[in-house]
Amino acid sequence: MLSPYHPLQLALGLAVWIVWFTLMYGALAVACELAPPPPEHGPYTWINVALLSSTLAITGLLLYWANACWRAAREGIGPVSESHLFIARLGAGINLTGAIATFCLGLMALLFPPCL
Amino acid sequence: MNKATGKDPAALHDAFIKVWGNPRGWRALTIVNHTAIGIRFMVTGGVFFLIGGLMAMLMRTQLALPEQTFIGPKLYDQLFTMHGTVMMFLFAVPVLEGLALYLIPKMIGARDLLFPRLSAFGYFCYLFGSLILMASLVLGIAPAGGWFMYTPLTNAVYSPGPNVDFWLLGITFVEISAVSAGVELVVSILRSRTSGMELLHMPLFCWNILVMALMIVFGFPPLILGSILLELERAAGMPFFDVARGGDPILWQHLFWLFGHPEVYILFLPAAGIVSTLLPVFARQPIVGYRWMVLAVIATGFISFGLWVHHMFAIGIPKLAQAFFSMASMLVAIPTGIQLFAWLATLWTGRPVYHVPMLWLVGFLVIFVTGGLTGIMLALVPFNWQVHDTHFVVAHLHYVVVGGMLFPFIAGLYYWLPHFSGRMPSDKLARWGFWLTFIGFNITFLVMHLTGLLGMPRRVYTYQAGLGWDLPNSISSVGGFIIAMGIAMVLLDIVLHFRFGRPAENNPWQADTLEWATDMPPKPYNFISQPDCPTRHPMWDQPDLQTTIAEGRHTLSEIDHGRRETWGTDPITGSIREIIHLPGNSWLPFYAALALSVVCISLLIRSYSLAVIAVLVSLILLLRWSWINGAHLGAAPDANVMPGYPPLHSRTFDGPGLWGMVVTLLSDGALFLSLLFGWLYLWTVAPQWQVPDTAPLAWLPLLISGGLLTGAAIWFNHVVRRLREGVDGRLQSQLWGISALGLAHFCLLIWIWSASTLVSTQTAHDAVIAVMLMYQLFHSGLAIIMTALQARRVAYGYVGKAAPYEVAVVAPWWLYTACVFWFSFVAIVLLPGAWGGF
Repeated sequence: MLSPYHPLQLALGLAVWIVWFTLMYGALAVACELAPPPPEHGPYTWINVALLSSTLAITGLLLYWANACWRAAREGIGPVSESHLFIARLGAGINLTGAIATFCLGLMALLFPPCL
Repeated sequence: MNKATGKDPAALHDAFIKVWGNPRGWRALTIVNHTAIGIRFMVTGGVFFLIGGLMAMLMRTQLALPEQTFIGPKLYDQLFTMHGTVMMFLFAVPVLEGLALYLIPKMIGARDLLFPRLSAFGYFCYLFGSLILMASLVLGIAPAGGWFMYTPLTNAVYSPGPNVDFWLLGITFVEISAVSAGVELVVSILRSRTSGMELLHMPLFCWNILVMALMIVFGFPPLILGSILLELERAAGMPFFDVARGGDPILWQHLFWLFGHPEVYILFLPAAGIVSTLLPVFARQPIVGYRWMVLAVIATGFISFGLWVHHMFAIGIPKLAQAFFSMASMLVAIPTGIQLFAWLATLWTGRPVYHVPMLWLVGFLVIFVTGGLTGIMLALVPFNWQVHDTHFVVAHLHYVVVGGMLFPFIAGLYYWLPHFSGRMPSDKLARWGFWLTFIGFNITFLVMHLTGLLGMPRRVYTYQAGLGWDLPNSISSVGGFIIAMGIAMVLLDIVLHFRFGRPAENNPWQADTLEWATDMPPKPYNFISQPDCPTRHPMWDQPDLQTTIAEGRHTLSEIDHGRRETWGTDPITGSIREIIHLPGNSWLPFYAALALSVVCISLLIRSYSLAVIAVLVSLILLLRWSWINGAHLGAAPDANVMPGYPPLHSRTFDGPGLWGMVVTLLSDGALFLSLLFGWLYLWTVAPQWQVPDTAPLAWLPLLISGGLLTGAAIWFNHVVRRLREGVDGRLQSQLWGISALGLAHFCLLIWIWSASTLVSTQTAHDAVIAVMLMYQLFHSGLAIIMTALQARRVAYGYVGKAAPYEVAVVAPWWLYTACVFWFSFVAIVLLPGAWGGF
């Protein structure tokens, strides 16, 4: 993964979230156009399963990164400055926020049919 | 004479003024200094605020009683459209940018922004674009389709006059200004902080402006693209939003709100930065939770890009998609809440003193929280449907925008007034101004929620008596006039204080940030010597900083070389990397903006030959602008630096120009992605999307054209790599060769287009491909011109091993242009083939 002290950590977690969100929204539209499941199936459709799977995968990835950043901020890997520790701490927060946002949005796939 | 430094502050000041001074009279149009430009933005925006306010008063007069005929429906349509447009585009964004342009260099201990000519150019684009737009109002042909210009109401069939064209062209012109300011602020904050100001020492205002500027960089391009597409549809008949020819009006809504929702936070974040600056000063203790605040600001910036569809809940999208955006809309309240609790905790743990700016901050907290709560209500889909397009929404957006932007801005205005003028405002007038505005605002808009819940739709010029809307409308109108009295009181106070205000003492609020270490009002160079700043509270830690700076006791206080200079520092650690030399006053920004305004006007009157001439004139002016750069004598009259100092940025590979280019390309990339989104959206969703039976473009010549372009980009990259290794043999001929290769690609692409079967007025499919080709040709053409220019500069000795800066700046453009080609190739050639389109 990207170094926990890299300044891109200040954007990475939420950038992943917004890309995932946009792709998920787009994929939903395409899937509903190509192969819409019957409405009576409710949320129990292949589309919802795919959305939930991507949700769990991205949430897991972001939580992993958040943990790595947090550990790097606490333990310090090699000679690092205060600025880099600051970035790692913030990076942990940004990744965690991305994970929460991903999980909360993805949970909606449990509740609603995809194309209705 | 200062005994410690051997420098005479007065003589030093005179020497600095010779280099940094602002001319008077007509030559004031040449000023590029950030202090002057920032003030111009704020004053011009203030004038538009008054005009927008006047329009609001006219509307409130009309709605005060039922069935009035004071204003007819046509004028009313123009008024509500222009009120929203003026307040959003000509007032709110420009004044906040103006404040940022004024304050940022001072807060980070720099002497100016890093692209001063761009600041001036942005201001003139804003001014001319605004004047063009306002001219429509004077002529009685103002836009009348609402400030978000929904199609099909705004297409050539339903809005046949020039009204909508004024909006599309004028606003696009103004947006050039916003994006240029965005680029400039990002690069300046990252690369010109004074020595030792690490990221973790940066004032929260700078964090907020950094995020806001990046949001502008990414958020404005979708609307710029949408405006270009709609204007092309209106002027050239290219059907992007016409259902019958394969377009979709909903695409406009997506493009508009992809900009429109982040816009709310583009207004809120700088205002939140003002709050985070002022509250600790008046609470007399550092902000609680600095790192949490930074986290919240970044999170707000990102999440605000995931909410745009909540403006479109009523158009008929699947429930699951609605749920995503509903959830995201609620999520954004969390980082905002973090900021709110940090402010409250700062007040709670501090020893607050309630000077006038604090009144406006308290007003902000009350009004913005109310607006935020109704925002959460509107994020709930069933409630959103219930109050859709009613006065409830109007009330909500005023609570958010006025509470979240205007109140903190006025707080900031009062706080920095002594900085602008060296004088203090009248406490009595200021308090009257606040209370009248606060009370008037709540009378107007709190009641307006009820009007909306009673079912009154927005944008109707009158209503029947007896529907239950009479009394709340009358109350709102009375409140509107009370607000006007409050604002008049604030204006009176500000005007009078320049003449009668008590002279301000140094750092009158006992603030902690560096802008108070300048003179009041500040000199054009801000700091005669640039201090180290290894702390978040420089003025609390070193109260004598203003004196020691003025005495030249810190660094970079030499001026005999005649250059405008500021430190270039590492974006993370704030350690010094180079000396950045800045351009001086110039007519070029004014002339270039003037030429572009001729382009805008000629497009409005459909005089395309004049438009082409004006484009060429603009291009020549911009090329002249780029000529006086880098190692040119007009940019750096003397390349020598003091022993022990780092080199000038034009003698390095990593100057601010490279950063500016990368940030500009990020914005450009956002526009291109919006175009790709439009292509895919229409392909998937447009109800009557039409695909030709055969591919409209010959794929093999296209492949060869792309190969030539890629070859040119790789060759350019090779040249830069060799320069980094210190080898500049045959540099000029190589650059000419790259231009020639690019030209071959360019000509081949034009041939491919002319030989194609594309009829861009027939289907949205062909129209989008035509726009992609135009976009590609624009980028390829500029790459060729810029490279040829570099080749010429090598001959003059402005570019070479000793001054490699500019070649490194052009390199990302080639890379980007090549990437765009291949993305477009995949989108318009490979994807349709794979999909079975033809």
